Amino acid sequence: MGGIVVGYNQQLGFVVGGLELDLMAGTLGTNQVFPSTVDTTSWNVSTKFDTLASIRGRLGVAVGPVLVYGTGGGAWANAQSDIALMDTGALLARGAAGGANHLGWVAGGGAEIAVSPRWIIRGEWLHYEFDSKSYHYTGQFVVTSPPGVPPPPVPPFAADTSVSAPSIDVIRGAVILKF
Amino acid sequence: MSVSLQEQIMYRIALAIVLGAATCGAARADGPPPAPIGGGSGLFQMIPTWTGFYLGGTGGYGTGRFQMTVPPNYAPGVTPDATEVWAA
Repeated sequence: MGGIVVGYNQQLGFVVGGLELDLMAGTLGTNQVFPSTVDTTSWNVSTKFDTLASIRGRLGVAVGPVLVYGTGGGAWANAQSDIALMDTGALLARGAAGGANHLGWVAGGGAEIAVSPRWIIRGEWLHYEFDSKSYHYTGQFVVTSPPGVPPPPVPPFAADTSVSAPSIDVIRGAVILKF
Repeated sequence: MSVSLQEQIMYRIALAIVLGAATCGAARADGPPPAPIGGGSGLFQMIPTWTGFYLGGTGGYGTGRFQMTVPPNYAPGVTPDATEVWAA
């Protein structure tokens, strides 16, 4: 995952506080299979968190060129999800859920070292907790017809799932330019 | 007056030392002044303050955990198939 951070620090003695916004993009995903108990079909669901953003306060202690801090605030994530109805390896239907917005909180900590008056290198860990969301998928069944036979109308496909309390952990580094 | 080879070498070494010292002295005189305490751009030098705006690029590794479930209106075992939807 990669992104940008922007913020403001205020130093009072050895205490440094501030506010930071960040936006990250990437792919955090999983595939889950829900097999039928009475037939050979299954629902294969792929869900990917592709955008993370947060607005956080920061409070830390500066010792010379090193700043050690804790951080916490609100977070937002966007997830995309697809569903495929399969039958012994054959695709019967496919659907997609639009981007789902998850809200939650984030907390973590890290350290920064100033390699010059303007350039800072950072390492940090962030833990995100988001709310649960219901996903509604819409799509179509896969319809085939023998050669020479007009294809029949494509029936719609719909399904529902839910993502329960997703949590995400991120370890990241940053190169920061101070103004 | 003749000068032996050994004396020539000694004179040249002495001349090199004198010229070298003069060159180093000139370079130091023309060099930048020493950075004040707390300033400069050297590695790991203390910055005057952390106060201010900043902008940066970040990258890292993430892991996610979430449980995906089907709500009661989708019961496993009654997966809809094309025939049913087709009839509808």
